[in-house]
Amino acid sequence: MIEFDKVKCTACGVCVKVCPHGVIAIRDKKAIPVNIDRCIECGACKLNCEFGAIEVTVGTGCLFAIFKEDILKIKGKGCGCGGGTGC
Amino acid sequence: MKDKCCCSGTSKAFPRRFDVTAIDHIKVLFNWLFLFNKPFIVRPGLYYTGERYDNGSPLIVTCNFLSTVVLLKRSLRPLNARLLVIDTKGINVWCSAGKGQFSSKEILDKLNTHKDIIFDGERPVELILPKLSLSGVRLSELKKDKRIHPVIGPVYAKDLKGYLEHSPYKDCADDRVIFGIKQRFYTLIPTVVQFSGYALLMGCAAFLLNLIFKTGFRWQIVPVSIAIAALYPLLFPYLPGKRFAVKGLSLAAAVSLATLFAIKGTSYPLGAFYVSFIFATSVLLALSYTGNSPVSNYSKIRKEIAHFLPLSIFLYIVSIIFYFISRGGA
Repeated sequence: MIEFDKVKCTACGVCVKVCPHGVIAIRDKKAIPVNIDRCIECGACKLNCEFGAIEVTVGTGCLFAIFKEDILKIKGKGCGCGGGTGC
Repeated sequence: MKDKCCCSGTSKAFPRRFDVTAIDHIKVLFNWLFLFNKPFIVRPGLYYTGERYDNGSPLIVTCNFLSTVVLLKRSLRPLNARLLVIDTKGINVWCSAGKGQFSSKEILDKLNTHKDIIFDGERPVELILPKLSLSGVRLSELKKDKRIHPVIGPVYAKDLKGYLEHSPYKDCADDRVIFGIKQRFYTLIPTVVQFSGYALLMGCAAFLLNLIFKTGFRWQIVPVSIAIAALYPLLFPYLPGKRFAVKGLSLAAAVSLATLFAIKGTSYPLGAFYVSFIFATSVLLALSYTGNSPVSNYSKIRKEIAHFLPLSIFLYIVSIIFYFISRGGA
C-alpha cells in the first residue's frame, strides 16, 4: 500500500524519477499515484523522499520470501528470496 | 584487490580491466538457469572496459552478480567505461537493492577505496546508477558528498550505450521496467528448469512408492507439470484474471480440458485425480512465479498466498484421495 502526505509533499519530483513503473506523477504541485495497479511496493519513492511524504508497505512480492519472512519468520525482512547469500 | 604502490609505498587500489572468458559465459548460463544455489560473482572493485583505464570515461555503478557485469560489458562494447562493482553478495541490482545490500553506504565505501584514482579533478564525478538500484540507494546521501554527482541511469544495460552518447548525462526519469514477451521468455527457461526439478522429484517419489507398495505410477503428472511451467510465463498477460493465482486457475482449466480429452474413456476418479492435481500444481506454479516476475506487488501477493496456498495444498490432498479411489476401483 502506498500513501502520499500532501502537506509534506513539495513536488520536488524525485519520487517520479526513481519509480521504475511510472506509478507517480505531479499534478497541481503534488505527487499522486496515477498507475496504482502497477506499483510493486519496491520502496524507491519512500527511500528517496527527503520530506517523509510517502508511506509504502515495502516488501518482496515473492512466494518464497513471504513464506520465509512473514509466515515461518525464519528469515529477516529482505532475506527470504532465493539467489545469493549475505543475509 | 589491494596492491602496493611501488613508488610512494602507500596502499592504493588499482583498477583492473574486465575481461570476459569462455568460462564466464558458461557461468552466466548456470546463473541464468539457477542451477546452483550460490551464484557466480565478480570481485568487487574498480574495473574498466576499454584498452586502458581512462579517468574521463563514464563511471557506472553495478552489482557483483557475474551475469550483470558480463551483460554490462557486452552492452558497452566498444566504449571505454569504468565499472564500480560493489559487493552485493552475488545478487542482481534490483534484488540486492531490496535487500539493502546495494546501498549508498556501500557505494561511498567503494568510492573511498578507489578515491586516489577516481577523484583527480575539481569537478564532481558523474556517477551513473542503475535505475533499479534506487530502492536501496538514497540519492540525497550520495549528494552530500560534493566529489560526486549521482545520475539515474537506464533500467536496462542495453540502453546504456545510447544513453552515454549524450553528455552531460540526464536522469532517466521516464525509463520503465518492461515485462514483454522477451522478458517473459527470459524467465521461462529458468522457471521450467526449476519447476522440472520439483516435478521430477515428485515423479521419482511416486515411482519409488509404486516399487515398494505397488501404488501404481501415473507418469503423466511429470510432463503435465512441466507444460504448466512453460505455458504460464508464455501466456501470462493473456490468461484471464489480474491475480497470479487466478491466472493459474485459468491455465489449469485449459490444461485439464486438454488432459481429459487426451485420456477420454478413463474412470471418473482417475479423471478427478488429474484435474485436482493440475489445478493444485498450476496455482502453486503461479504463486512461485511471483518471484520471477517484476510486476509482483508485495501486499497483493501476501493476500494471494494467504488465500491460494491453502487451496493448492487442499487440492493436492484431494488428488491423492481420488488417486487411491481410482486404484481401489481398478
